Formats: sequence, C-alpha cells, structure tokens
Amino acid sequence: MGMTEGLADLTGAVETELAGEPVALLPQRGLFWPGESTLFVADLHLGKCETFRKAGAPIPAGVLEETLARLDAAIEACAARRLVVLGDLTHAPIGVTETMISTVSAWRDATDVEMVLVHGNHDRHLKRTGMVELAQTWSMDLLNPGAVLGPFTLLHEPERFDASHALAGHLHPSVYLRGGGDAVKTQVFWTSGGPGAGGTTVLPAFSFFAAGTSITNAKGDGVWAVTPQCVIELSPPA
Amino acid sequence: MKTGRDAIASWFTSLGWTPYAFQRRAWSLYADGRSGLVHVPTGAGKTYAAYGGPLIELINEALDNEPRPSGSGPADEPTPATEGGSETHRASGPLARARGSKNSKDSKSSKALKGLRVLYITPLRAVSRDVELALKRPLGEMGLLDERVTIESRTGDTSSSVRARQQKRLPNVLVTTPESLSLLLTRANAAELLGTCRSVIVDEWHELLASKRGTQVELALARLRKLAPGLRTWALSATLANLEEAAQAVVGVDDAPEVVTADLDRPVVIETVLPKPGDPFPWAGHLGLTMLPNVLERVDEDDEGVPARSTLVFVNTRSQAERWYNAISVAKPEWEGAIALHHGSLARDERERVEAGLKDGSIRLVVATSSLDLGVDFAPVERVIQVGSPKGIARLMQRAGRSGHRPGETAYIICVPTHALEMVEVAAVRRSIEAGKIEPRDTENRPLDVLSQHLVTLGLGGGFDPDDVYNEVKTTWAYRDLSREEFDWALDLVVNGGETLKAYPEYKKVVMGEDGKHAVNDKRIAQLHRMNVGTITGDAVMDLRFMNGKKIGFIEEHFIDQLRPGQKFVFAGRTLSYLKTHDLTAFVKPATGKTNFTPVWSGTRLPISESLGQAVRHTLHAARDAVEGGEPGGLEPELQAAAQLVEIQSKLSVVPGEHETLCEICDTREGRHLFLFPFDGRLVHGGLGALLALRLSRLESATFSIAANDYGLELLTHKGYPFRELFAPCLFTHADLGTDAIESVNLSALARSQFREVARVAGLVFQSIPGAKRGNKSLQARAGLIYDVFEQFDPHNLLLEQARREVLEKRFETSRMGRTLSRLEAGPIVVRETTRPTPLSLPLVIERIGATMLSSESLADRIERMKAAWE
Repeated sequence: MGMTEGLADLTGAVETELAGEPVALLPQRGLFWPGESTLFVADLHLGKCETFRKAGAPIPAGVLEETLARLDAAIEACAARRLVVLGDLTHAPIGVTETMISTVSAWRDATDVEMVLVHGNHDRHLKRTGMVELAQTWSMDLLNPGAVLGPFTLLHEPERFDASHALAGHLHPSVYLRGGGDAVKTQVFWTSGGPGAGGTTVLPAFSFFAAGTSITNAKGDGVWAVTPQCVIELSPPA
Repeated sequence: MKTGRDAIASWFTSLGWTPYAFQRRAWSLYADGRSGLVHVPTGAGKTYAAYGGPLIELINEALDNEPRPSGSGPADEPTPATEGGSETHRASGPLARARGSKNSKDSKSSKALKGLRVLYITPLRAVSRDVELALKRPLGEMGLLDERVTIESRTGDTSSSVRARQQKRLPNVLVTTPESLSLLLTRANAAELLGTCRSVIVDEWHELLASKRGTQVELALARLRKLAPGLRTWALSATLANLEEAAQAVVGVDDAPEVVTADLDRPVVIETVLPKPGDPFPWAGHLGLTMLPNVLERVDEDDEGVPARSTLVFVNTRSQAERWYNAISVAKPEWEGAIALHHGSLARDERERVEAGLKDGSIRLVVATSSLDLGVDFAPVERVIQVGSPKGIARLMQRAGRSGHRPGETAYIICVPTHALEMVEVAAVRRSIEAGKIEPRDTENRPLDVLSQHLVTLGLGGGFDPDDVYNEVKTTWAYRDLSREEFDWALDLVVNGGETLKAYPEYKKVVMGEDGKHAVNDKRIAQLHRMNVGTITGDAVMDLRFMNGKKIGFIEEHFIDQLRPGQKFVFAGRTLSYLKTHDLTAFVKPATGKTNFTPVWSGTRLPISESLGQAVRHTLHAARDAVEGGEPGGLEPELQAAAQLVEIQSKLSVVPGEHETLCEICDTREGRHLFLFPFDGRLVHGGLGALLALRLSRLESATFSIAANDYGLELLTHKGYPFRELFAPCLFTHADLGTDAIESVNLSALARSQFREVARVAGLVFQSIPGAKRGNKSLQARAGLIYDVFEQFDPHNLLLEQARREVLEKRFETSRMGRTLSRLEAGPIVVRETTRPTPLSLPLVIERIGATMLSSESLADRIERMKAAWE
C-alpha cells in the first residue's frame, strides 16, 4: 500500500519516516505504519476510573467508552489490519471489573483487527493467568517487550537497540510550550537517537486520563505535539 | 475545705501570680454553663483563662471521687446554671475536699476519673506537647495528676500503641488537632468515647476561623454537642476584628456566645530598614536581598559570634525563604548551625528540629514563612523582622506581638520593604494601626467538599440519619444557610458519586442500610478515608526525595513539570539536581555549584487586605501631593524613601490619586501588555483580569496571560492587539456580571487550580501517606487530570460547581468585586501608553507569578504560534 494512497483520509496526521519506512502520526494519539497496515498505540490504562471508583473516589464513567471510540476512529481512519498496544493496556487488577471486561469484549467483537499486546508494567500487576485469560477473552496475542516486527523493536519502557528502531510508550511524553504570554503543556510523539536504527520513538499516552511527563529532548530529536484536531511538528528528527 | 476554685487561686498565689479579671470572668462564665471566645493579646494568659473553668470542675470532680469524710459541706462555688446544658451530676453541687488528703498515696485507679472531660484543640501538632505540659502543670503541682486525672496528647505523632489504648478509653483531658479529632469521629465507638466530654477549647481560633480547617472544627463541634449534651465550647484568639462572628462560629448558631476580652493594650512599634542615602532601591522584585546587609546590621552577635537574641525573619513565600536563608549562610558562614530555615514544604522532621532548636536556644535565627506563625508562643522570640509586604494590618500586629511576651510590653517589629511600593505599604499599615482600622477574617461559606468528607466520617463513626445530620450541620455558623438541596447534593456525592447513579458504576462509599442509617461498610474505603481526613492541602504536591528514599520535603507538580533532568535548583537550603519523577515522587541528588533557581509555589501568597489596599491608595496619593508640592520632608521616613519612585512614575506615566484608577499600555519583547491598578489585592485582580480578558476576547479573539499582584493586573497577549482601541469603561459594567464571571472562570484555568483543593478534601485525590504501602500507587492521579475528566464526562458535577463557586467567591466576591467594578465604571480611569514598564507595572512584568490563561483560540492555533519559540 502506497503512503499517499493509504493516508488519503488521515486528516490532521503528519507523515514522517522511521527506520526507512513511511509512517503517520495520528491526532487520535496513534502511530500508523502502512507498510504492514499496523496501528501502534501505547498506555490505554483501561479500567483506571474503575480502580478509583472502587476505592471510593467518584470519577465519572465515560473514559473507557471514549478511549475505545477513539481507537475505532484511528483504526477506521487508517484502515489498519493490525493493532499493536505497546504496554499498559490495563491500569490495575481491581479496575478490571466484569463491566469493564464486557465493554471491551463488545468493542473487540465489533472491531475487525488483529490485536497484539506488548506487556507493560501496569499489565504485570495482573497475575499471569489473569492476563492470559483476558488475552483469550479479547483475542489478543501477547508479546514480551523486545519482540521484533520488521524494522521495529516493540517495547513498553523505552530502550535503544542498535540494529533496529524501537517503538515504546510508558513515559507519556509531553512538552511545555510558551511564548507571547501563552503557555501550554501538550502530549507529544518523541523520536530520539535519530529516525533510523538505534533510535527510539515514544508514543503519547493514548488515555486522556494519564498525566504527561516532561521529556528531556536533545538537539536533533523529533518532537510532534498532539492536539485533538491535528499533529503539529515542533522539530523534525535528524 | 476547698473547692476547685480555691485550689486554683492558691496555685496562682503559690507562683506569685494573680488571676486577671478577664481570667476570673471566663472561669465564672464557664461555671455558669456558657460558651464563647477569649480574645486577648498573645502572651496574656489566654490558655489558663479558658482552661481554668474546666480545671476547677475537674478538681472538684477528682476530689469528690474520694471517700467522703463526714461533715463535708456543700460547695461554695457558684451554682452552675441549671438550664439545659449543665450535667446532671453537677446539679447536686460538687463537694469540696481538703487538699491535705490529696497526699495520701493510697488513691487507687478506682478513684481515677473515667472518660474524656476536656478536649483541647490546637492547630499545630508540634506544640501539642507544650500544651499538654501547660495543662498538666497545675494538676501536677496539686498532686492530682495521673492517679486522679489523666492528660494526654493524640496527634499524628502519637505512637500506635498509645492510640490503640486511647481508642478504647480516652484520657480525661485530651490535646489534639482538628484532623485527629475528625479521626476520632470515624471510630465506631465515637459516641462512647466522646459522650462524657464537657468542654472543648479551640486554640488559635483566628488562624483556623477563615479556613476549611476551621469549618472542619465547626462540624466536629456540632457533632460533639450532639454526643455530649451540655458541652461548652470556648475559643482562644488574638488580633481579630470580627469578634462576634468568631465567637458565634465556635458556639454554633443555637447559642449566644460570650466574648471575654481584656484591656491589655500592647502598643505596636514598626521600624523600617531604609536604604542608605544614595543606595539604589529596586522598584520591583520581592526578594529584597539588596537589603540583606542592612538587616544583618540589626542582628547583634554574642561572644561566640552567633546571633545573641532569638530572631525570626518572616518572609512571604517559601522560595523567598530559601533565597534569604541561602544569602545569610553565604554572608555569615560563622553562623552555621545557629540559623535555620522553616517553611511548609520542608519535611516534618526538619521543621520540628528547627522548632525544638528555637525553643532550647541552640538555633538563634530562623528564616520562616507563615508556617511559623503558629506555635512560636512557647519559644523565647526576642526579635521579629518582616521582609516584604505585611499583607494585612492584623497580620503585622500579630507578628509584632511575637516579640517579647509580657502583657503591656511594646510589640516591636522591624519591616524590610523589598521594593519602593512596599515602603508605601508599611507606611499605610502604620497609619491604619494608628487609626484603629483592623480587618476582619472572613469565614468559609458552606463548603460542600468539607461537608461530604464529614458525611463519610459520620458514616464510619456509627452511621447517621440524613435528616438528623442535616439539622445538626445547620447549627454550625459555616452551614447556617445550607439548603436541604445542597445537603442532598453532598449526600448524593458520597452515596452515588454524582447526581446520576448511572455515571458512577461500582462506586459505593456510603451505603444506606435497611434501617435507613447511612454507613461505610467497605474496609478499604474506611482505611483510605482515615488516611485522607483533613483539609490541609495547599497545592498539588509531590514528595521530593533522594534516590535512597530519604524525604526532603514537598514540591509542586507545576514546578517539576518545567524541570528537565539534570537541572539544578535550591531547596531546603541546598543545591539539588533533578533526576526523574516516578509515582508522584520527584527524585533528586545533591549537586554542587550555585544556582539561584528556586521552586515557586503558586497560590500560597496572601493578598493584601481590602483595608490595606484602601490605605495604600490613600497613602500613595498623600506621597504624590507632598512630592509634587516639593515638600517630601514632612512625610514618614518610608514615604521619603519612596519619593524617587513617585517622581519617576509621574514622569513616565502618572501617579493615580486615591479615587482614580490608572491603566497603562506598553509593548515589550514579550508582546503587548495592558496594566490596570485598582489596588484591591491579588485575588480580586485575578478575577477582574479574567473578566476583562473575556470581554476583550469577545471584541477581538486572542489568548491572554493574566497576571495579578496586590496593586494591579496585567493582560499580556501577542503584539498588535488593539488594547488602546478596545479599552473602555463599559468593559467594567455590572450588566451580565454573573454569567460573565462564570464564563471567565470556566475559560480560564482558575477553576481547574481551585479544584485541587476541592478534590483533595472530597476524597478524589489520595494523599501519599508517609510509610503507607506502595499498593496505592494505582490510585495516584493529579487533580488537574481529574478535573479534565469531569469536565469532559460529567461537566455538571457538584465538585466542579464547588470549585467554580469558590473561585467566584474568592475572586469575584460580590461586595468587593462589585465595589471595584463600580469604581472602575464610574471612573475616572486614566489611560497612558508608555514606552517602557513604569515603577508601578514593573513588578507585574518581572514576577509573573500565578499567571493564568484565558483563550478564545484553539489549542492547535496556540501551538502553531508558540512553536517558533521551541528549540
């Protein structure tokens, strides 16, 4: 699938190249690789609100539904055949409630993509058996961090690999922008160590209910700000 | 044959003391079953005034417990009031006992009083031990302590074994904090533990009164009155203008309070450290470090070369405290060990070390924020220095009152203005004190977050019936106007999470049992609630620790957000290097080298009071007239020192008269600025700035940064914005004020930042608890994030409403904002376009602290404009 053709209806997305492959950074907070028709997302933290409510903090419902709806929107926009979650699909065991499981199952049944989960630190809180069971319920393949997909190494916590370009999450990267009396904190896609092999790209947290962490970017890092409407390049990777 | 009253009298005599008339009056009123407020200057003997009555009662009861020798007569003490309130056992009249029998060592525990009688609430747990000793002293010297009467503290510092014992049975006199009292109310046996209580004494009421902690105490008192009918409640306060309100708040609305005051005048002398003739004096900046040498000159050294007298240097912010401490350490290395730093973000161990050092004399000089306003009563402070704006008239009087401690003695304070306008402020305070104008402390008005926390507390403490609790809560001053609808909202919040059951699946905090009683049944919720009781929050803070886990203090998220790993900053008097943030903890390592980069804690600055604002306008006008009339020589020394500012302000722009308001417009590298100077305090200026920004953005869309200080406000936006063309008095119209105020609160970040406090108190954000298991990690989220979730998924949630209401009340407070708007709309407003910032606007440009945004543009447009500045 050619890049131009594949990205025809990716409104607000930005095209760039990682590991020599054209990719698109989506305003829905996902990274699309047309070469394998794969959509990467990270840090969904499903069940976080449920976790809070169970502890007696009245956090309203709706976050889960919004997250899944946005995932659908991203899948639809790029017509991805495969969805790779780069860790922290879930937040905590206590938040994996019956209702949450069935909501996700219903979404899963209605979504025609192959789904892969790379273990994240929050997912590890679920006992291994629990995760295997969930993987079956939601028909996901489970991978350990470090798995290789084409020119990419799939991770949750960022690391560097000389032979390939790493894709990761975990950090919830964000930057502080200021000027002309204005200031704003925004989540970003962040490529450090160059766009090729040896570099790492960290995705923004897919969940809106996840705080950003300011990044330590260096000269030559690729940084793209994400807004609900569009992705804006702040600096290209070099 | 002696009564408790005689015993107290002879105890006073044995010490060579004579009870003051106000103390005797307080004792009699107590004996008559009355409640109220004791308001006398610091150091005059408030504690024994309020404690005397309960003490007499305790002694009588303790002696009455002895085997009764024949022939003992009735008490010669005034008969207690018999109207509903006095305990039945006292109606028979407590009998006097000969003191001689107290020495008989045969008294057994069977003679000991059982159950709580007196509850003493202090806002500062660090002084609870001192209070305990002061309360023990008379009984100890009468030989009644321990065997007959027990006195203990219960605070966060009390060991778990003692707490466990106290949970079964409380001592006769308990010294505790508002938080620990609320925790007692969460005990299932609260009614049994507290039902025998006869009196409550609330110390430092002036400090608690105007805060949610005070509201928390009011609610606890209402509950105690229910559990212990006839309870008498007394508050102690100093330097307060609204005595009647303060007294009413401590007794509740169903009782008529007594106010006990004393004619113990302490004259206040304010001396100002002036710049030396010819020395440059800054127009802006709040640090005031240029004045350091002049201040150090005022600190005499003893033979060992350390400060001879115990000295408190009060500053207004924590970052200023850091900088001053640092500067003094550099200037006076030989004082090392004898000087210390004290502010609210330091780890508690460190603060307590400093308080103890001040008390035992090993620490001679402490640079402190208001964190040390409380509790230094017990320390021998001899000299008080105030760096920067005094903020309020009462506040400065109170700090001055810390110097020396004897009634009648002059209270003396040295003021160190940090810039020229503060010279005017100090002169204005002195003028106000001379004119007898002290400002009131306004109480909180029915905060629903505190109420909802209280409902969970009651749910744990044996459960409650909503109708009963509504009536009980209505008896507090803070909730006197609470509607049933509002109460039901708060109830809904803890029962259903929100108005709609549907939106909050799996949430059940308080549940209704079959008998209609509301209670908490879930152990995990109970545990989390107990760990989070309280209203002290301030800011969204994170722990600051070394990698080995040692805690250094607390730091604001907002500050950490702006740090990059490796960046150095100063904290707790040392240079640190930021490493990373994990689980709401910021990790650092010690660093070498110097930096002046210091954390700024937002939202911690008090605004100047309305009274002081008026006084400053008046005083500035007087200074202008004298300077323009060529006769500055007749002015106070502070105003003479500010004469140059007045001259230059006149030249670049104009010095506004008392009844005029100045507006300046100016371009700088940053963009285009509009300044307005109503002198109405930082909070009102923040609200006014948001309102002005909203109304301007309707005329021409833009993103504004709104900054405010005590003198005025600044709107900053991109170059070329037509401020001059759009600015008109109609921007200040009262028309649609209500809806515009709400809209500007929503559009700006004001409500979002106010929400931090609401979320914490209402139990949406869990505090990280020292020593708590790390299992709660998955429950950590920033209040701002939760605010965003609410805004998106339940925009009409009550807690959001409350955050907005609090902003409206604090910033748009109808009366004060209304007066400001009327003045602005009526004019005259003098508009000047200046070529550069003037002495009045410079402080706003230099210290853009607590700036908030108001934008009518999309996030993408804003990022597009700012991306040029991205490196």
